[in-house]
Amino acid sequence: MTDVLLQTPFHSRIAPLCRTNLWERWSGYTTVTQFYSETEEYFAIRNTASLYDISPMIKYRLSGPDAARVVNRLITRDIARCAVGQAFYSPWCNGAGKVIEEGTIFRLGENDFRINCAEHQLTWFEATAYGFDAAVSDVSQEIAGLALQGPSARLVLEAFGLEDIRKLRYFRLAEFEVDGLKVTVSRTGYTGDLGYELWVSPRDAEALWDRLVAAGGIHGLRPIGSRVLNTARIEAGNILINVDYVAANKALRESQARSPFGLALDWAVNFKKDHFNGRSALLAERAAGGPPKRLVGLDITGRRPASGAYLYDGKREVGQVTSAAWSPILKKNIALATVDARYAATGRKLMVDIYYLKEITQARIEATATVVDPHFFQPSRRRD
Amino acid sequence: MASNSYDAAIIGGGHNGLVCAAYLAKAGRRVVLLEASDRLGGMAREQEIAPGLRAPLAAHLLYGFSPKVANDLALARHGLQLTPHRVDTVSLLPDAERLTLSSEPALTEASLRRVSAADAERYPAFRARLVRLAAALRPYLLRTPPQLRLETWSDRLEMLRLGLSVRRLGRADMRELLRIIGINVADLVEDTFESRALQGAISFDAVLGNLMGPRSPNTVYTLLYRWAGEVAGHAGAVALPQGGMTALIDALAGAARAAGAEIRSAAAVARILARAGVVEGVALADGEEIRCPAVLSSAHPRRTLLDLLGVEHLDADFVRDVRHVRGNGANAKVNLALSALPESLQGDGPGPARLIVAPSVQDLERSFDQAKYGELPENFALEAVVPTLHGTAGETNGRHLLSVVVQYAPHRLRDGDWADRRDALGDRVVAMLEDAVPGLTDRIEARQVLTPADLEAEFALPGGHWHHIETGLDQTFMLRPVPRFAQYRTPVAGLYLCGAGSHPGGGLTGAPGANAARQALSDLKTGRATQAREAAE
Repeated sequence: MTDVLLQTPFHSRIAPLCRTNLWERWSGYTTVTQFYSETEEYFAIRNTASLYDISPMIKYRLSGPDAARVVNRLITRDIARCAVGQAFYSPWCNGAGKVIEEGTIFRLGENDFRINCAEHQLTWFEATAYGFDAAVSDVSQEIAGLALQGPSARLVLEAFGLEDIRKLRYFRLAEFEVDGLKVTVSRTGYTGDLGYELWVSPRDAEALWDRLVAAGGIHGLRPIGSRVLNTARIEAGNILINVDYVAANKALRESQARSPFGLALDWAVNFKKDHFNGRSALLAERAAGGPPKRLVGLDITGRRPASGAYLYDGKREVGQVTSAAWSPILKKNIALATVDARYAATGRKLMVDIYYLKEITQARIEATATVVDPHFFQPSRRRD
Repeated sequence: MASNSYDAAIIGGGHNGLVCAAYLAKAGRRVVLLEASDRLGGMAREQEIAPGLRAPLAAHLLYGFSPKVANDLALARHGLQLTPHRVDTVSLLPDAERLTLSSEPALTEASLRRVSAADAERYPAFRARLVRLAAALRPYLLRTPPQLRLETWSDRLEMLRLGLSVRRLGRADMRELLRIIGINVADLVEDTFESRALQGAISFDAVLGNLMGPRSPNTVYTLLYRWAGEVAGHAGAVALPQGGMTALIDALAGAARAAGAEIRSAAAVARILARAGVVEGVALADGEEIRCPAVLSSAHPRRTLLDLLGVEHLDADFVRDVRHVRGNGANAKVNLALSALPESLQGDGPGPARLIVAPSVQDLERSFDQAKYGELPENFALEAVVPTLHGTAGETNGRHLLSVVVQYAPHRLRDGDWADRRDALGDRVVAMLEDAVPGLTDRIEARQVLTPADLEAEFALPGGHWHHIETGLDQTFMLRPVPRFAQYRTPVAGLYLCGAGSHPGGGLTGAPGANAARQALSDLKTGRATQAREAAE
């Protein structure tokens, strides 16, 4: 019988460490929800160093004489500002200016790119490349990846053998070879902390893991599961597809799709470059006064995470929480939410209706939420 | 202002381009029309295939040329005379049998009685009802379709108008319209008639021009569309202009010039110029650039948007929609110069007629099936006219022209290509006609065969469809050429589609040209393109 879920190239190393035996599905792979202790894993991200298997991410190679033009046609930022060896985070939209997904684009060469994302995008990328001399291919299975994140991440890499890693700036990438092991390192990540992502051939995955763990032990390197990663990414204000927004090409209701403006990604839209997918619609949205709903950060009173909670202005329902967490590092009750645009101004106070399970009955508390910048925790060390 | 600057450039000198140019010029705009070939007319063009015999390259009948356009542009003053005389449909059947469907009820009845008394009784009511239903749709041919989102009051009003027009039919007719508009014509005619000949003749009108068989979905709609045509007040009639299609084109060009439009032939547009989502003009093949705030293209939507404009100016999903529009042609054209008219086409016949070969639903469907799979069918369906009998092809000295539209010649052949099959196509058509018109072959002086590939090359039709794209329900009205862009505008401000690829579609109606001109005029007035440019800066 065929396995329902695939195992990542790191599985042989990860499985024995997963003491909770809590697993979950991610893009057809089985991945760890929690290894041992949520607290210990979380503080590895924030206080020492953490390892997270990102092999299931979907990766595309886009290359050919027109590749840069195609990428520029796809994303809302201007790829001309992304040098070779640089990484770019950007959303991409459909013709209606609604976000299909966002991801990280690696500029490997003048006309050679890798796009990392969570959802399958091949047909959209190919549609965008139509009429241009560029080819798109899915290279997901050719590349295994590990996210090494936390304040000690650089020390781990130095111990691992990358003496020059200090020179790798924020959102840059470089190829290294350590004792015959070829590894591409990008200074990127999802935690908002100092961190790197390491990309190797699946053949080298186990060797990479073993050598990192050997080098990292003294620096408090811990494997982490998705649960604590989610807390970290909410703290960083990094949005998650299918959680904080619905992919525009999957949204059943048009009103569910969000433009980059609606996802607080205004900074990532560049109207000065050549035409890109959704440009006219985004101009029209801007001219009409912006999106009807906006993503905001919330600082909520009390300690109960406001998962899925509705937001009120008096009796009027004005939005809903999409991601919520208690932030151990900030000691704050934080959330990402989508609210009607006129309630999105920083400092605005809203009422939150939080339901939670109290023994076997549903309890409800009313808390006050203050609209804040969604980037709750992004220490300067991430870019220093 | 530079000497080569205009308010609007129109691409293509077919009838829609000319109509569009005339309307814009009449409204006082500086207009230049650019035709790639050295002659105007597009698919209404004629060509001399033997001394004195001008043959229509594509269209040879005029279905529903808009009376409003003819009136607005005073085409009569520019020499257009639409012949009032009757054009009956004569279906050529095996064993020299014929079925005549005439606008003279008595003639039709007599002819039908020979095949089925029951059908003879049913036909008048059937025909009358379909003409009524077609008439309810007719007002929309000249109107700009609303957007489905109905965001503006004018769109809501437009929707209301259509609703009212259909509602005015009365309950029974409205129910019938809703029942039949999505179904196939074979079901409708088999439900009503027993004669295979009559079933075939009606089905022919439903499928002609599209790669559709009588059992293809919504072929009742395509039938209604054809019958919605209006010539001199005779619903569903067809006609030929005095002087042929050339006379129509001359009248349109005359009207456009009289209004002040500049018409340039042998002026091929190489590129539509646009920047930041706003059109800036056109570049000609010889390098000349014409700057203008509006460009209206009567060329095929794919050619206009993907080739001339370029995908780099368009969203990927819009490009995908445009690429996926159905528009594979099914038609070829055969023109025969005859030394004399065969006996069977002379004398006490029904007069100048439209001859069709469509003996039954089964025959049509079988031919369609073969064409669908890219085969050259054993039998085509044919529509033939003798323009010389209408006095429209000039002085002929007893010689005649037989103009034949071939249905079910697939644009994409499964094996080989059209250059090698041109003669096979011509031979097969002549052989089919010889059966019904003995002595035809011996009288052929010259033969012109235009395969779908020839039509594609001659008229720049990607897919070789001579309505540019199919005219089924899903590609009509607010869905033509693609949903959300049915109002002649394109995603690039200032660029419009004014040809057969836009509502109401193909055929010589002039309506797409007129509607697009109205849209462009209203946008020029409000300065839409300027606003779009300012918004981007």
